Amino acid sequence: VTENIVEILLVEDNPNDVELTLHALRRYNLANRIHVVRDGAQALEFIFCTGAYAHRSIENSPKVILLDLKLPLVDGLEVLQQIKGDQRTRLIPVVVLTSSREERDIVESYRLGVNSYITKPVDFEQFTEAVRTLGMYWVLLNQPPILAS
Amino acid sequence: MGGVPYWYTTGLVLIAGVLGSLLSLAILVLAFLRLRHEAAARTRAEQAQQESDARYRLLFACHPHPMWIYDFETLAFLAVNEAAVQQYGYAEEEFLTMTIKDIRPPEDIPALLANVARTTTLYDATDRWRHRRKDGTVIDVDVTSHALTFAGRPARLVLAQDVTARTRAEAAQRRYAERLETLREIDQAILAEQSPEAIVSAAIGHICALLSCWRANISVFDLASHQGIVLGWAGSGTPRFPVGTRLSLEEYGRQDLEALRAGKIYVVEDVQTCSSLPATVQTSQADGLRSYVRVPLIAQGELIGALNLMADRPGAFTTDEVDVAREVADQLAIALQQARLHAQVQRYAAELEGRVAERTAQLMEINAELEAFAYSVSHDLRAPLRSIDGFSRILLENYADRLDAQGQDYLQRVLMSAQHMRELIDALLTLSRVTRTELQREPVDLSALIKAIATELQQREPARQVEFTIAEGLQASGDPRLLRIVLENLLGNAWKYTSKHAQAYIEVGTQVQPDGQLAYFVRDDGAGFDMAYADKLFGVFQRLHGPNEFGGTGIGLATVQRIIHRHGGRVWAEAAVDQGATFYFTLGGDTARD
Repeated sequence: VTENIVEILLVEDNPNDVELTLHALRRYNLANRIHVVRDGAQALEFIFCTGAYAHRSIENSPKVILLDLKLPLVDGLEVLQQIKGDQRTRLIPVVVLTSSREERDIVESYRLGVNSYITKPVDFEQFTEAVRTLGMYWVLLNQPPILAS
Repeated sequence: MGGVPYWYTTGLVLIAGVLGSLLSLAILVLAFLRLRHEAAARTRAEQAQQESDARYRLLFACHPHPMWIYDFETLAFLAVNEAAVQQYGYAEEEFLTMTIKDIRPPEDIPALLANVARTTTLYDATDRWRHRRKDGTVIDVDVTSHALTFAGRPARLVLAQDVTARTRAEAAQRRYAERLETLREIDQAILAEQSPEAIVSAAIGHICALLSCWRANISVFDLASHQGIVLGWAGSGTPRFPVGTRLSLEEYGRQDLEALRAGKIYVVEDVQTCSSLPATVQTSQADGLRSYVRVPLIAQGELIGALNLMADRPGAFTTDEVDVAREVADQLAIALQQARLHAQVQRYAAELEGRVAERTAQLMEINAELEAFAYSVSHDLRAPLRSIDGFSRILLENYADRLDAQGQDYLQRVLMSAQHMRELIDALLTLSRVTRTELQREPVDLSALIKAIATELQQREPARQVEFTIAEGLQASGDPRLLRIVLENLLGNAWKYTSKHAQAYIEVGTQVQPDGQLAYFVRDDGAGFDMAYADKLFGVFQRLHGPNEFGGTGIGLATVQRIIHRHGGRVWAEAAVDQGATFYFTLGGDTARD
């Protein structure tokens, strides 16, 4: 069931940032198994296999979730809290990828158990590099724990 | 005894005759001597009598203190001396028709009779009594008496010394002391209390006791609402107008109020002889009020209330007591006025506090808004910038073959502008963070910090030839993160404005200011600036160089100034065009080291 194999879940409401992220991932051939959701509610449905994603299986989790913080409906920190607060999903690596450099966002994210916190560089080269590194690390290099099936 | 011879008998007779004659002679002589002796004794007795009379006159009749002898049973005067006649105003003949009761005020007679009945001793020690003279005036006397028999009657000799002046002086002294003590107590009570009610209730009891009032109360007036309120009450019985009673000013009496308004004490000697009485007085009259005094309480020329003294007998208050009442009233008025001022000050303070709280809330709101603004700058303004930068670059990279040189130049300009805007946003964010974050002072190793920044600068542009001279052991007390921003800006500027020179020199050190403060300085030998524009240096978005000369946001020095000011320090610069610039700053609280 190939459509179910999602390696990167991108939670991002800004279509430009989505496009730039995809562009960067495409450059390094990482864009094939990426799924994009535009708000926090969709993200939760995808992760917990409810609503529009009820057909998905929760064990089939992405290798990494790239999560923006400022999101419609349910904000990124809330999404993070739910992922890290649930036995079934807390081991999924979550990388916050946001424009915010606010200390409180960084501190709160780490408090909730984020695996990495990346400030989106304004400079495209830096941004591309950041996305590439992220993709390489979490999708190709990182060895996730084998989840009980 | 028979057988005695004759001659013997005759001889005896003879001898006896001679002896008899001798004896008679002796008796005659003795009788003569005795007569002489008796005559002398008679003369001596007469002399003694005369002396005694003289003594009597001296001791009794002419004694400077009044003396008399009275019959211990009938109490009638038996003898009086001249001093008594002078003192009491009765002639001697009058005295001799009177009893000692007649020189007493009627109310003292029972005590007198009791004392007479008690007196058993020969000598009665000094005792103080009140005597009444013929003209009715009453005097205080110290009386000494002792028993004697006069014309065969048991009598007593009395010496009465007038001590009126002394006792009056003593009484006045006592009253004065009491008054002082009461005034002092009132003073203390007043000092200890702050509310008008507390002041009045602390004072009214003392006043009532001091002036021997039947009842006393203190009212304060509110002339605006034409009302008085009873603030304190003392006295006997149940108050007709207990504390807290509100009365219209009319109820105090029109005449009463008129006098009070004029600052005068209003005295009614006897309410029974008064034709028109105020309603309140009529009410109290039913309880037994006979006379009263109203004393105005005046503060700063304004009638603020009245001290009301009441008695259950007519003419109860002496001039002396009214004087005391006025004194107390003046004191009370001052205290009440102070209490009012105190309350006013407290009201103002509370108002001020309220206003401060309001302003603080406003400030906190503004601060929160600022924070929200900074957050949104940080987040929302960067996103479009990233799009501009990102898509421009994608265009340049992937679509360059479809753009001519001018199109590519325009895209480059878009990229440069996006870059500049990013710097501006970063600088603005730093500036706003400087204002928002709490200052945390700690010892900072400035020399180490400066060296680190210099190394960063050098690493960023390794080709530049810049010589740094950094004083060793520079220490400061300040917020390390904020001080880093200051030094990054100042050293960054020095680095930037020397960039046109092949060889540059940057020095960091300290200089003791005339006021003893230690100033840190960053000196360069770069472009400098015209001191005429020195006042523009630290304003936000103020730049002394065009963007073509030197890049920059115009926010760095504003940030520096804000940080220095938050430390309680000062920042300034000295420069000349093309002769370099020196920036000085102090950090407040730092004093020059030796």
